[in-house]
Amino acid sequence: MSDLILKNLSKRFGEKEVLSPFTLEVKDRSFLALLGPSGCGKTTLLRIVAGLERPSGGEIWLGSRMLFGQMPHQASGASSSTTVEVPPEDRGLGMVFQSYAVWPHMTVEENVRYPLDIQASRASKRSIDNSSKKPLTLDQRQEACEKALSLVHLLELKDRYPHQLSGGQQQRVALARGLAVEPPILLLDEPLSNLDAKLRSEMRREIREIHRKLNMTILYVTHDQREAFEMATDVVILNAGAIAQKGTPSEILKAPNPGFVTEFLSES
Amino acid sequence: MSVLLEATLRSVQISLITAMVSGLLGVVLAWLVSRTEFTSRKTVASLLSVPYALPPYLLGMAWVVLGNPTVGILRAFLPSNGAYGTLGICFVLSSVAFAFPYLELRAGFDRLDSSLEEAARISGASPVKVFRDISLPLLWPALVNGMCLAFLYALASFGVPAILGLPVRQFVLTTLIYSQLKLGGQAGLIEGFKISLLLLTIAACALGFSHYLTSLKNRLGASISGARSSRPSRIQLGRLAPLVMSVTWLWILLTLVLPWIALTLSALAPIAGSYSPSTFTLRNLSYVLNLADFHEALVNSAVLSVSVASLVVLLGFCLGFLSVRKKKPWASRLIRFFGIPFATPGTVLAFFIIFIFSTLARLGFNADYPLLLMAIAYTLKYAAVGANSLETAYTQIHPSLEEAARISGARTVKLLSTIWAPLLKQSMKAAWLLAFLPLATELTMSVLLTGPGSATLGTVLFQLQEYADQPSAAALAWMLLTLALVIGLMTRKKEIY
Ligand SMILES: Nc1ncnc2c1ncn2[C@@H]1O[C@H](COP(=O)(O)OP(=O)(O)OP(=O)(O)O)[C@@H](O)[C@H]1O
Ligand SMILES: [Mg+2]
Repeated sequence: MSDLILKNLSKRFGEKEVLSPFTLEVKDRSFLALLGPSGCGKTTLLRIVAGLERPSGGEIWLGSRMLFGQMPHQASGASSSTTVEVPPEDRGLGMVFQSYAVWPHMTVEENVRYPLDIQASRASKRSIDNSSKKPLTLDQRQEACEKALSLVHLLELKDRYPHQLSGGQQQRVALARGLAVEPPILLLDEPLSNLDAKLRSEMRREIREIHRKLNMTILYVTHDQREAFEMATDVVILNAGAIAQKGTPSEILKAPNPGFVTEFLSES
Repeated sequence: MSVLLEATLRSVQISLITAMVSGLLGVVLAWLVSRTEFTSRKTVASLLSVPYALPPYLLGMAWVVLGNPTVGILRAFLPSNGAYGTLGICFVLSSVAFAFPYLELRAGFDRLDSSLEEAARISGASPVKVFRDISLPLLWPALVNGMCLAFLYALASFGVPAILGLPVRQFVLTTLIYSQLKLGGQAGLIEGFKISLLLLTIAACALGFSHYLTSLKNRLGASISGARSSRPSRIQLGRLAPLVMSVTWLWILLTLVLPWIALTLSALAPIAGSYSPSTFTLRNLSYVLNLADFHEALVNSAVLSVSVASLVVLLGFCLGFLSVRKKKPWASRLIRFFGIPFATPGTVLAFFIIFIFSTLARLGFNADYPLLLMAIAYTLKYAAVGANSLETAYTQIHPSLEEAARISGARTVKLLSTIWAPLLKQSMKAAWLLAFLPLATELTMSVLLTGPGSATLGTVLFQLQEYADQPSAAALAWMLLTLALVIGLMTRKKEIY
């Protein structure tokens, strides 16, 4: 029902074209991995979807709801249009940042609780127009918070402050915070980059499990091929701001485009 | 009520109001220019740092011109007292002192990893909520420090309460010390000593209280910085953008442009209050330029400010090396010690110097060298500026740069002259300006220490103003304000993002 559609989207920083115009359709409930070398524009693409960066052109749609683009005026002829730009807080997404962005003045539990509390207070004011979710009660929020924390094995550390945690533990706090509200679309920017091999494969399983159970759409940025091909239902390979190939993992592995993709996949 | 009690209450009241207003303005303005987008944002951002370089009493004089109850240009818009009295003093002080919290918070926002705020927005929090729940708690220490600086600044200010308070016989502690000393004699000295101790106590309490407030929430410390994303996503103000733009420009107009226009008109007017272009004259300007006192003051101020600024930078350069690179504990202790005279109100510092030297004089030492006393006072007051900024600069440069030269055989003097001096050139320049600008127009300490043959720009101006020669005072003030504005505009921080 609500596919994420990026139409002719492009991004320039000054003179520099970071994303050249491309079109991408992310099917509802799919798990899309964005794969590419460092600096190819993966984070930028994610931030544009989240509403943190304004695209230089193009449109973003979530189902029938325009998140960014030019909306033509129906009344006054075709020539005029208004810019639609839904601010990040009204897009109803979840995101896990590459830099974790764990709030240092809140405990682990408070970090994970924050989005839940905000959503509850907003839902009771009915300010998110597209969701008719009932506000969660205090108990339900507590439960959701603990569920998310146990998912990332941090329940025992819930009263610690971030500076008392290791890098990998902070990363898991960020993951729990993104998962707790069970958003329809979850944006993950290299969420496992700082974990050891064992924990990483465990988390991979958990994320796939969550994806199946909660029926959410996931956009997953990584430069780790194994991660992408093991978890995703669709893979997009980016090269210098352009899509080099897209398809299901098996399609790409079977017939990688000659040139960049073949080369990129052969290095590991 | 006794004069002393009244002055104490007024001092505290003025300082509290100034700190509050400055804090509020600083927070709002810093947030607007650091985190939102509106037309002319970059220009606004860099203009807001200019008042920092202005001597506040020049603005006070401008507001006398604007807000004099009988002949002021804007008197129709002001209360019956005009710009005189507590409210006027608070306004003029705030128009400079807001720069302390503003600059502290700008630096804070620059250090703050903006993805912390972005994460909250994606969680659904509105910009106001993000500010309340994330930015403000994390920038709390910066805000408290900025407000504390504004409080101390207002508490220690002498020129503004003298110009806007004395004509309506409203004393604050600094102007009370001044008038006690003007009475002269042993009684004045003892009375001044008592008030100085009182002023010092209030300053120490304010510092202690701000330390307490920052320690409350300062468990984050280093974690604020770290991996920060390339640049913050700015909040689009939408329909509010024109409003925000007009209000910020109105503030700049009120605090920078209007005072300059007022002094220009007043400098050109033949008598105070006659501002029609047909009668404009250059007589005031040429009168001041030919004044013997002015020539003397120009030389004194130039020599004093250039030499003291150079001295404190040199001192900082050496002490920083000894403290950071040679790890000498006495050097770092001395640098910490300089913080005390820096935080001491200038009036009190000057008073103690007078007190010590007049005691020496009674013991038979001849201590009647006002210029020397001024040089001592200036150096004590501004030593911290050179020492702190250069100590920080030393810690920011990787020791391997020095070690590479040491391995090549360079000794201490060679190291300082060929490695550290070139590396620290920018920091030394900045520290020099930071000491030179306020010293060139110093008033608070000079007015107490001055004597025959030792006029400075500040004291000449103060005398002209006190003897109610307003057109000549305005002419001199106009020259100084123009110069300060030019320097301030030239050295203002450029905005990158
Ligand atoms: N604010 C900015 N101004 C100018 N250029 C930028 C800005 N942000 C990113 N870029 C550039 O855009 C390009 C893409 O950056 P992006 O952060 O999206 O890369 P990435 O694919 O996420 O890389 P990594 O895997 O290292 O995280 C880079 O070349 C970067 O230099
Ligand atoms: Mg990235």
